[in-house]
Order: sequence, then C-alpha cells, then structure tokens
Amino acid sequence: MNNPLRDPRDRRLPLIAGPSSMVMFGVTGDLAKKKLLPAIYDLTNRSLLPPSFGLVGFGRRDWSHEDFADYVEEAVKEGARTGFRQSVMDQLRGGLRFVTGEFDETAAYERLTDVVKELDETRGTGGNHAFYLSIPPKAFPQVCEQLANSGLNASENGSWRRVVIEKPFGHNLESARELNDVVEKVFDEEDVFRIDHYLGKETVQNLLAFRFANQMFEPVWNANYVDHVQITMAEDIGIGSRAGYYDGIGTARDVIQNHLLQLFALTAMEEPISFEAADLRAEKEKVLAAVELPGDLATSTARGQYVGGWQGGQWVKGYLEEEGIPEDSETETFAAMQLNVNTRRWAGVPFYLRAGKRLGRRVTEIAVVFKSAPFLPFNDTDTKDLGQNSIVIRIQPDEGVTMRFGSKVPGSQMEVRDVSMDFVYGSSFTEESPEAYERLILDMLLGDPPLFPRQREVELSWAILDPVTEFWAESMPPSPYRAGTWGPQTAHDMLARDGRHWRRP
Amino acid sequence: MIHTMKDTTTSEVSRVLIELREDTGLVTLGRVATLVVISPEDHLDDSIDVAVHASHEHPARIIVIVPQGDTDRNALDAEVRVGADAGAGELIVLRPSGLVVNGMDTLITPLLLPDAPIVTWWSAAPPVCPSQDVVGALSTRRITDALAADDPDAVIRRLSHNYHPGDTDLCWSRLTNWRGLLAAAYEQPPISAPTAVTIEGKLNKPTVTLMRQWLADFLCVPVTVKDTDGDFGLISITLHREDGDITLRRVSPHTVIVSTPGETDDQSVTMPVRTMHDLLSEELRRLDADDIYGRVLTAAFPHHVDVKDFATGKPAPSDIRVKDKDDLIEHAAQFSVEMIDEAVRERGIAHIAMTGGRTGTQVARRIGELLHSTDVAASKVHVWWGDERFVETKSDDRNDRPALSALTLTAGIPVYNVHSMPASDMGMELDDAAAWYGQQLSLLGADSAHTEETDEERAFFDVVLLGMGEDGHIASLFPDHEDAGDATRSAVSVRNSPKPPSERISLTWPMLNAARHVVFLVAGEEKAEFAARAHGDIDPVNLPASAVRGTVSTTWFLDPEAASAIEH
Repeated sequence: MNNPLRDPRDRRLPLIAGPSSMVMFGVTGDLAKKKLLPAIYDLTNRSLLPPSFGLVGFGRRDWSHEDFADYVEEAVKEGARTGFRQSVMDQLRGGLRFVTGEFDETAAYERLTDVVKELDETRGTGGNHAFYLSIPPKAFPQVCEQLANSGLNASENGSWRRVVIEKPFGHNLESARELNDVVEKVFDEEDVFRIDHYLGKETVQNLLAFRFANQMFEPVWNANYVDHVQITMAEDIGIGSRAGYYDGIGTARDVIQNHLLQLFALTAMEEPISFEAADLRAEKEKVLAAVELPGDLATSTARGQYVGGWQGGQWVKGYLEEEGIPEDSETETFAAMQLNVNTRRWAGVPFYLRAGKRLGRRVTEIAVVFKSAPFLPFNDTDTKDLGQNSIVIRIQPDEGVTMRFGSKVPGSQMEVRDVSMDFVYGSSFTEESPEAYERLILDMLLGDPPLFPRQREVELSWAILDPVTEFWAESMPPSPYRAGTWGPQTAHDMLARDGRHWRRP
Repeated sequence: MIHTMKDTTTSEVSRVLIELREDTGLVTLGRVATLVVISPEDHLDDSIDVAVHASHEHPARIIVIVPQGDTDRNALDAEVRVGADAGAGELIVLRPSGLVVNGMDTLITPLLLPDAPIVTWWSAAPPVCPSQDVVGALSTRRITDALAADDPDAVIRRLSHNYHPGDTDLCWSRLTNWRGLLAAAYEQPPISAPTAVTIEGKLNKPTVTLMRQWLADFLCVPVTVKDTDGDFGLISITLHREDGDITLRRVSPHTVIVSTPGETDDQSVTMPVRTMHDLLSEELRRLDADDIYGRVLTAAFPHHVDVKDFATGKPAPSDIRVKDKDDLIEHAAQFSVEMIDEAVRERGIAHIAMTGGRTGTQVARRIGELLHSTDVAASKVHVWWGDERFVETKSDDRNDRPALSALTLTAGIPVYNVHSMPASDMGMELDDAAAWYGQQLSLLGADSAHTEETDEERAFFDVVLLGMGEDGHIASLFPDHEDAGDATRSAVSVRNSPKPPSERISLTWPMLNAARHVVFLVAGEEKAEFAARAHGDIDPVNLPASAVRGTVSTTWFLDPEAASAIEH
C-alpha cells in the first residue's frame, strides 16, 4: 500500500505502528515488568503506537482486565523513561485485556481468541497481532502448539501474526534447531522476531554509521593496520536472582553466543550493499561463517568463576555461595576466547572476546588496537610512554568513541605520550535516546526486521561456541577470580602468550 | 556560573569562555551546533529557558542577542554562563546597544563554533526575509515563529514569498503530531483513499493554512476549511472516504479523539499541545533543509501580492499649492515638523524618511533648522532615507550627505538615530547592503508594517517625504522596472536604474506605504504632466507616484508650474 502522506523526504513525520495488538506471555515476569511494559507506555507517550493499540496479558493469575491494568500502571510508574502522565495511561488502559490460563490449557486459548476478536471489533486492531513469548524456552512447544490449535497463528487477508522470542535461543546448536523447529512449525520464518536487545542500542547502530558513513576509518580497518580487537562485556554484579537460569548455562552461552558475537559480526563484517535486512544479514552470516577457533583451546580460551570478597566497599558472595547454586557447580561466570577470521581483511588479526560477572566495573566496549608505527624517528626514551593507537567504541554506559594516539608533551624536550580524544554520545546528542526495547517493539510492529537476528545467524553462532563449551565441559574447569577484578589469571596469560594485554576498560 | 561583563567586546567574551572552561573542566565537549537566539529583552527569560532545554537534547553553544532599544550608548554588555545555568553547553547573552547593533554578524563571528552548523531562532516576531537577515545569512537553519508576531497570517505569507531552503517555522513543527496521526489514520483498514478533506479551525491561522496545503498537495483531493473559532487553532480534520469518514478531533489540550467508521469505538489519543521546548528540540533534530515544508509553504501562497493593495483604501491625496519653490520648502518642512512633534508627544518617538534631489535636500535642511528653533525633542527623532545611490560615502551623488550636518549638528538629532543607507565603500555588496538596511528598520519595529491592512496602527513612519521624477518614479522605484516589484522585503537593491548612478537601494512598496503622512515635493513644469496623472488611478507599475499613500494623509506640495496640468 502506498500512503501519499508518507514522502521519504518528510523526515519529521513519525513512523507510527499500524493498528495492532500484542499478546504477552509471561507478563508477570521480571523482564515484562521492568522493561517491556514501560517500553510500551513510552512508545504510547511518544505517540508512536496506534490509538487502537491493544495489549493482552496471558498468565496464571486470576486477574480481571482491571487488575491487569492496575499491574501495568504500577510497572509503568516505576519503569517509564518519559515521565508518567495519567492521560497517556488512560489511553493505554482502553486496550488492556487479561486472559487467565495455563500455557497448556485449551480453554484459555479459546478465551484468548475471543479477546483478540473483540479487540479487532471494538478497537479496530485489524487482525494484526504479535505474540511476545517472554517465557522459558521449555514452555515454547506448549504455547506454540496451542496457538496453532486455536488458529491464532493464522492471519487472513492482509493482516499479520508475529511471534517474538527472547534469548536464549537454545543452549547449543542442536537445541537451537529443535527450538526453531517448534516455532517455525507454527509461524513463518519472516514472522519470527528474535530479540537481542543489544542490537536495539543506539551505540550498536552507531557502529554501522561509524564504519560505513565515514571515510577516515575504513581504510585502516583491516589486517594491514589493526593488531587485534578486544570486545568486552563486563558486569560488576553477580548473578542475583537468576540462579535457576544461570547455573548450567554460564557466561559463554548467556552473552557470548548472542551479544558478543553480534558485536563481533558488526565490527568485522564487510560493507553491506544496503541496510535492508537481507543484505545486512548476508554480511553478518558471511563473517560468522569465516570464524575459526585456534587449534589449542586450552591456551586460547579462559574460564573463570568468582569467589567472595570485598568489592567496591561491600562484601559479596562467591558464585558457589549464591543462593540456589550447587556447591560443586562448574558453571563459568567469566569467559574469554580468541577468534580468528579467515578473510583477506582479517587474516592474522585475533579477536579477543571476554565477558563476565563481578568484574571491575560495568562496561561494554569494542577496542580496535592498531599496530605500532613501523619506524619511529625518535629516541627510544622519547617514546617510552607511547602505546598503540586505538579506537574504542563504548557501548555502555557512557556511550561514545575514544581514540588514543601519541602527542608531544609540552616543553622543550621531545617527548611523546598517549592522549585520548573523546566523543561522548550523551553530550553530543540526546540524553533521551530511547530504550532498546522501545525501538525493537516498534520495529517489530512495523515489520522492520534489520535489527533481529535470523535462525541462520543463531546457528552459526552456536557452531562457533559449541566446540569451546564442549572442550570446557570435558577438560577445563573454571579458575577462580576475586570479585571486582578483571577475571582469572588464565585470561591474562592467554593474551600475555601473544605479547598483548587486555585493556583496562 | 554567570560571568557578567559591561562595556566589552566579543574577543573579550571569547577569552572569558576559554578561561571558564579551563577553570571548570571539560564542560563544553561535543557540541553539535551554535544556536543563535534573537530575543527582545522582555522575552529573554523564556527564550533562554527554551534554548537551554533544547540544548539538553542537542548540546549547543547558545548565543542570545538582545538588541537594546534606542540609547546613546554605543556599547556591548555580555553575560557568559556555564554549568548549571547554561544547560548542556555554554550560554552567552549579548546586549548590543547604539551603533553596535549595526554589525550583528561581525559581533557573533568570533563566538561561533568552528565547523559546527549555525542555527538562528527568532523567539519573537520573525524578520521580513530570514535568509537575508545578516545573522540569518550566516546560518544553515533559520527558525521563525509566525505565531509570535502580531499578524501571523501576514508573516507566514511573507515567509512564503521569501522562502529559502533552510527556513522553517514553528507552525510547521506544531503540526508534526497531527500529521503523524493522519498518516497513520490513512493506513486504517479498510484502506481507501480519501475523496475530500474537511478541516475545522481558524481560517488564515498559519497552522491551518499549512495543514490545508499539505493535505491538498499530497492527497490531491479538495480540502475545505470550516472557519471555526475555538479554543484551539486547529480543531478537527476529517478524511472523507467511501468506506466512511475518519475524524481526528482535538477535545482538550491533551487529547485527540479518533473516530473511525464501523463498529469500533472512538479512541482517545494523548497528544498534548506542543510546548516551545518540544518544538525547538524537534527543529534542531534536522539541520538540513526541510523540502516538504518548503514545498507546502510556497504552494500555500501562490499569488504574488499586488503592490497596489498597499495604497488602496487609504484617504485620497490632497494638494497644497504654494507660490514658488521656496514657499514649497518652507511649507513642507513646517508640516513635517508638526507631524514629528505630534508623534513624539503621542508615542515618544518619530520616524521620518527623507528624500534626495535638490528640493528634498533643502527640505531636509530646513527641517533641521526648524527642529533646532522649536522645542521638539530632537533626541526622539529617527531619520531614514527612502532611497540612496550606492556610491562612495563622500560622493556628491549621495542623498544623505548634504543634509547630514543640518540634521545632526543643527537639529541635535543623535548620530545613531540618523540611519543612512550603506555606501559602496563600506565593505558590503549591493544586495547585502539593502538587506542590512532592511534589518535596521526591522530592529526598530518596522516589520509590523508589512501588511496590506491600512489601519493607522500599522504605520511605521510618521512622515515619508517623496520627490517625483520626470517619469513619475519615487524613491528608486522606477516605472516598469524589474527591481521595483518586491513586496516582501523592506529595502531592495536596484540595478540598471534609468538615471545614473545605476546601482541604488530603495525602500519598497510596503515600507513606503507604512506611513501616517506621505508628503510629495513637486516643483517645475517638467513634472506637471505626471503630477496630474498621479492624481488618478493607483498604478504602481506605470506610475509609481500614484501608489504611495499615508494612512492618515497624503499631501502634494506643488509649485504653480508643477500644478499647471491638474484640473481644479
């Protein structure tokens, strides 16, 4: 359909999602309460959701529509980014519904069908419905089967049905395929939206702008100039209340498989021919397929588990002392690995990935470290403070880009020292960049897929990770590290063997 | 932190900025633009508040220029604010007074951020032609607000005629949410193209005008405006479709109701009336030209203003016949001084536009003498020129030169109240010089004159003196000349003048007609024919002298020769 009011040059005109509703499974969960419901309110407040928008909660609780609305309001008041306004909430309230039921209860899906139909009739949601599965993967088969049985997955003339699933997309290649089979039996591939909220972050998208909108970085973005790349995702907190989920999964499967490998792909991929979903995906898939693990995983990977101690002025528990963790757990809370990329651009340039909990501070960044200048026309003593040039893309917090290079120290002597040049996202642009979930939910409702990974990417990522996790399970128990440090000694040794060292983020 | 400086210069301000930055650390990183705000003193706090708010989203160096009214102090006062008082950048308030106002572009040049785009926002009434304004000409983006003017419709019309890519008006950003909602409503199933649109709102309100034009242009259907006086300028929009109408109706400052066909309930959408904060922030999001706005704005007012309208509907001219040329000079000067006196008594200020030529110069001198010998407060008098030859300052061809000493030394009019048009040796090109003069007028409030309405309050000049050429031209508006048709600016450049020197600057039709009293000074037989014809129909193209009239009076001072062809 061609809307004459939407001129591509009219860049002020906001893209408002079409008439639609969202059915949310697991609406009482942590993610829904802290992120998803506030994001929906924020979208409404920014006038980006259609006036007819409906939100249906599905859960075990014996709630009326009103009870659900109160729950949503409470969650919004706590979590909304854009400030609470009763009139906006009232607008949202008009489209709130709740359906009580178990995931496998056929009658509940009949009630859901009725509610969805009622929304179509009274609100004009036009048969467009998204199913957001904010539930553990083991419940997927039941929910998908029931959606198929009740016919809710089937769209008619011109309307759409979409399903949104959250990580983890399985815990290895095989389980990812099984999970996908379950979902794709019921929904078409293009109607499945896998949410990796990292891809909704402004800074991650800025990585594309940084690389492909500028002339000055691309010429040096290759093995001729780059020495190595470090991608870090560190958290200063422990596992908190996620023991049940975390134990047995570990850091590698929790964040490296998705977030870090996506960041890696965006950093290392070739230029896509356009930013259409298919073209972007093609490049990401190519570079993921070109990844090769080093031969000796014992020296090119590191695995750690935090032990208790004083961190930042407070006593924190070790991983094994956390509630709900078995005393002999071998789950890692720190993972690091080296990847090699078999392309002309990157041959010989190692990519070091590391992620962990209870590390020095909360930071996610990509550091591209350049080779030293081949010849320095200075005395050795003049340049002893000169390190390697680097470009650091900070994803969170304090989003921005830093460049490090040598500069002469003022004075009569020639002396060169490293200095930083800083671009701080928050100060050059808005402090009001939308939450990743706002962006992703809106894109999903608009049917705009570039920021959602497809099954092939998920499978390629598992193919990279599976040999590592298998090797670890067989012969490499996690090494302990003190909470608040930058991981176990093995991680430092891993880079030291190559004559390199981890940046201190 | 606020640092106040009296009697300073911009390089001094610049130095203080660097000093403050060194003292307080890195408070000024990462600014994306320089935001120049032109604000009158009584808007200042609001303007700063809005600009500072916008700078949170778009960190900018904010320069607020507050031109000071008439004062005999030629000086610059400044304030520099950093930290909590300045939002996410730094804020500089410049208060130029007296002659310092004349060089607003060079005033801010040292303070502009290197390479960063410049955005200028007029927080009160917009200038006549933003892209020709001396500050506007430096800017990549020019933001005006027609609603801040007394007559928004006249202003948006003028902005339309003077549109230049990079201009936008806040009336357009006021519509963004409406437009988003409409585009979404179009996509409401069952989808069918509208066959007509009805808008309820205040006719001729810029927001309504722009909305009408946007819908008509992009939907290609008839759009009707139902003139309705309500609490909001724009009340409702209905898309008429074969499958039923879709109506968006504002019911409160926060809410719009969307009614769709079929059984679906009406839906209320929270769409608060946008605040200035929202509007300016939206503007700063795009630092390139808004083509859609340009297209809609220019299409909204396709017809050129008929310059005839500026003179139409005003009191008919009357004649005063005098016995000879000396008598003419005496009478015209006395009349002018009386009117000046009246203006100063009633309004505390008087504006008079002088004319060149032998008679014009003598009248100007005589006015100077009379001001000296009477008790009129000469310090309240502003002197302008209706036109000027664009030659060197000391050239004998200048209109202002022979009269200057009589007006300043003899009469005691302060130098800064004598507004000579620029000379060719002042470093400005002809077009810039004309624009600059327009801005001087605008600084003293002449913009309100740009209207075809004829009531007395709209007048800017108290007296406009005009000679008439043998071909019937007045000022430098020549018959059938391509540069004489401008009806949107205050002063224009004129090339290929039929009389040497060929390059001139002239006031325009709207400006000359923005007078309470128009005084024609006509002497000599050679002018008899045209003087007679000018008493007939208003015809600006063939007979310019027929098309200037005062809101209160138009008087022809004629010697017997000049009056000879006029029938009694």
